[in-house]
Amino acid sequence: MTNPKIVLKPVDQAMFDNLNGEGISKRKSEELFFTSYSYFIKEGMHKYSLSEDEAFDAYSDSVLAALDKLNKGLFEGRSTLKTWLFQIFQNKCVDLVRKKTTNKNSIHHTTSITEMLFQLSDASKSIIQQLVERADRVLLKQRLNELGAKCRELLMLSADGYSDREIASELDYKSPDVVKTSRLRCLERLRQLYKNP
Amino acid sequence: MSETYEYIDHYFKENISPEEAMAFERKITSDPAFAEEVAFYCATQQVAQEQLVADKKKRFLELYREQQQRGNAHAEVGGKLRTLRPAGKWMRIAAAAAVIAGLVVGLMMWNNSPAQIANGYLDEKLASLGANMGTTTEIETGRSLYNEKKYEAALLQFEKIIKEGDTGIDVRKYAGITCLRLEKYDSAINYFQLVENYQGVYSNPGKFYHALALMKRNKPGDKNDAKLLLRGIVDGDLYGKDKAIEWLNKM
Repeated sequence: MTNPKIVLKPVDQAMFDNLNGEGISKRKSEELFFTSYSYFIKEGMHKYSLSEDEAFDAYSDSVLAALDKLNKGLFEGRSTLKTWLFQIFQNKCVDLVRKKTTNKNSIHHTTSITEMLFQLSDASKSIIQQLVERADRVLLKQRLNELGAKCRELLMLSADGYSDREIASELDYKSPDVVKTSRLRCLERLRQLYKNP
Repeated sequence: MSETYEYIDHYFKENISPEEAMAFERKITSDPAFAEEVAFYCATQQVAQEQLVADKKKRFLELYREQQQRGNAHAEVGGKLRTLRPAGKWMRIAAAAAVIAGLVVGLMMWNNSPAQIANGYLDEKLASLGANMGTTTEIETGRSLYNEKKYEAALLQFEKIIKEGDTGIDVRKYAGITCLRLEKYDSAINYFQLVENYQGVYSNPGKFYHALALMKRNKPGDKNDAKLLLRGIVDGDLYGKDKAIEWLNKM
């Protein structure tokens, strides 16, 4: 996750370390990261004539995009975290203004294809992508929420990039192997719920 | 089924050899049921990620609303909390500070303006003209008129004396000072330049009063000209050197 070569501005070191931490501290740091620069929302409203809801969407999308890049070690530390986040935010605002003027509503970027598919060769990817697109996503989401808190949490943490070791530590499982077994059982249960509602 | 998901999970979450990867992909293309399970695994991951984003945004909205309710946005930078007041308040504080700073600077500039310095000197040192040894009765009359603030009459008296052929330095100096009082700056400067030209005077005040007249007139360029004269006084150790230093520091 962390790029070992990165040289950070002193002001960002604590924040960066926390964001690259594990479990609860990481979640808290993400929230802190959000609240630290939430005044950008007003900036967006003022500078780009956005409504508060629109500026909030642009800002929260920017924070999520920044967190994703941080997770993947894509933050190079050429500027402060604040400047970097503000650049992302500005781009989101410009996108939003552009989309508003072309009558396109949403700036929410849901991944059209999971990144994991890129591991596959083109032939396999094409098959899987078509099958994924045929899936009833609304139903799947509904079933995920019906799965039970424990299972849902396991699958959500896994989707958030937590390793089985991190989940074991977070949720007090005996070992990463136990997490893996439980997680796959939850997936199986979800599959049954999805197929046999 | 569990074994299938374990196999899929192994492919996507762990480092596998190229041979294992090829076998996995061959199974996708040759086994539709397996491809369905891989697709379900991926779709679940994708839906979970979308749900995760939605959950986080919901939480962010709660945090934002909490901040709004508190009225202040708390920001933590480098581990230290600082409170960001609403922009309007900052604007008001900044505007008030700017006005106060402007007034202070304006007052300082006004106090140190050449005209203000000259006025101060006129009021302090030239409110009345002291008697000089050897001055004539006519000059004493003019000086008395000046001291009674009858400046027009005083100037007429001094000019009359000059016209009558007095060639002395004092009457021209007094005429110049009276012209300053009457705000006849050009005339004042002419008289002081005449004073400057007097040779063999122990302490010639001409240059000093010339500078004073320029400061009082304060037309464009007068300030620089006055400073040049004042520097000349300082360098030449002439009449009014101490005041010249003081005024140069102020201007």
